[in-house]
Amino acid sequence: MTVLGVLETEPGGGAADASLRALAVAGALAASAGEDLAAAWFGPVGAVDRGGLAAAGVARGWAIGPDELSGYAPLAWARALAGLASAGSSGSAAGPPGGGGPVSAVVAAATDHGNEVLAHLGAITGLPMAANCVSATRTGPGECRLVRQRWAGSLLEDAVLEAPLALLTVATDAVEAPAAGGQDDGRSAAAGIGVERYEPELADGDLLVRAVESQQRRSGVSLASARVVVGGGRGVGGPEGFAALEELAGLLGAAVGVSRVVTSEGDPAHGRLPGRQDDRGDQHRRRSPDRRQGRLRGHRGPARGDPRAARGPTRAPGVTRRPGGGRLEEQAHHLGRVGQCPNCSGCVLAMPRQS
Amino acid sequence: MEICVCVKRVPMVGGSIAVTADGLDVDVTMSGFTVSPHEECAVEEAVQITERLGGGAGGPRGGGVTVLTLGPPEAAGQLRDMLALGASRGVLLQTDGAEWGSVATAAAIAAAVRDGGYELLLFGNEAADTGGYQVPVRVAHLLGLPCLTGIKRLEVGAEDGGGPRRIVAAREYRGAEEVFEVALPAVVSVKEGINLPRYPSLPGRLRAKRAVIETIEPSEPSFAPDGLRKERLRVPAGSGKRAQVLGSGTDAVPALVGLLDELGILS
Repeated sequence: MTVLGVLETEPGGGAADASLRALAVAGALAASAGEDLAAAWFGPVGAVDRGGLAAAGVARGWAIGPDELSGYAPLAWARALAGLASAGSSGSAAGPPGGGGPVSAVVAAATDHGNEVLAHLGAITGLPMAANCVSATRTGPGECRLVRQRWAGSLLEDAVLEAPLALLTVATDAVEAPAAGGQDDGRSAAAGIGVERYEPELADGDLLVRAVESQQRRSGVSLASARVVVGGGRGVGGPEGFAALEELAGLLGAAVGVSRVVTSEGDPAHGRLPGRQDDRGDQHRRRSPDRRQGRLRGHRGPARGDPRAARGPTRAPGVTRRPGGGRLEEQAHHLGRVGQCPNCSGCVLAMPRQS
Repeated sequence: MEICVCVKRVPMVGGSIAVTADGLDVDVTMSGFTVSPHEECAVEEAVQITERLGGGAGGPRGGGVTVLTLGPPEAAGQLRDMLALGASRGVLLQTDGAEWGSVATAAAIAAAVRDGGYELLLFGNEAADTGGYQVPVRVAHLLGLPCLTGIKRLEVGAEDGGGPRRIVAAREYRGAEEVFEVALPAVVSVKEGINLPRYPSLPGRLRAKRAVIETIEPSEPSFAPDGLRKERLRVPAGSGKRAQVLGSGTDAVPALVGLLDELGILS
């Protein structure tokens, strides 16, 4: 049997960091059942460093084509994975080309792409999908024990997934990337990795939804992929207070994230909220700067009972580091507790991830 | 233009969430209920679209925004909240309050909207509580419609000589903007930030209070296990950690630099 990790690739080549973290969970799942770990990606055979995959415990890989699939097309990607996972299972039970046996699980990073593609795969196969897992262990044929995040990581759920093909996405900010082996180990292992081209059969409808255009952000670091986030909230005092945070972020190669109060008041330049409902993505909420400034300087947010009052805590200026340990929103929450104290307005706060 | 927005009743929680003694649910003893922010934005987007395009054109009900939820009778309160924001019709797929899985939820929603004449089905990108990320996609498959998820910008085109409207939708992904274009009808899930939801007006609240919520039985009359079984919920370890105040102003700089170095941020 084989656990199949789905990799997203970076524009410049190589597997995305989130995918490598998901691969760590996939590897643990495979190890718990004595199964092989394999990887698949969309693009050319050379799009991923095979030595790095070998160091992560990957035994074989599939580069999924044709070229039409290089651009993001969620349904087509899912159809390809369904074909790859089911190849051989009804006949010789030999599994996909290249060996390793039938696929018992498909694991992807819980990114927008990963969640979307595996949701399509779940719909195609009629199987359940578990999102935002932080660990997975095989407990029997067709049964996995999972720990997954709920409430954006504020709670953990212990769950059992019963399905002939487990479909999992991994909350990648909660797990470490697999430790890379030494360079020599990687090279020797790479020599043993077989990477095959897999070309699925697609229907016209499978390519109905595809990214027709992808514009790169002009500059700066994306909050979604930033290694370091410099956070600011009401304690910053006003729009002008973000200049120092921007400067610090620039020096650190970081992104600036803001609290919900700042986000809700709509400063386009500082509209990026790490944490709760934004699934670690960016937010842009727009309102006039005057109102935003007024809110920062006096108002406490929506009235009690208003649906918007439930949007989470206020956060004071802080520095959080990701990935590598705890949850960003958890840290921000505790920063927020301090930030709500009038005496702490303007303080420099920090919450190390593991302290 | 007929638009249906699917929302979910979820507990209104703060920064920390308490779990019931049996570990199976969120303790809502001291909290109210709301809908996910993503879904509130979906309702706002639907209302804005009908305001732009004139919601009265076409559709079996003369156009407008239908808000639909699957949940207990109390979920009618969340439907009224959304009606106060400008939706014109509320539909409750009434359950006994048990937590439905994504597969069963999608099946019930698809059955309820299949013959509704909706051009656009809007969802929040994921439910605030379960974070399943899959109901919109499963509904789209069941209805044979294209599906776009995680959308942060949505433009609905005008009717084009009897042909279907087209939508252009975009989202941010890993520092880039992905743009999609499909013909309606379609399923779209949006993320918070696509718009700024309005506060309900007093007339809107009064209208919502008087509105009749249509209550129907889901096609699947009882909870259907999906294969994903919750055993318990728990608060992650380390949730009680507190922040460390390093100092104020320039006096904090040495400690801050030391900490950044310790974290490996300066390397």
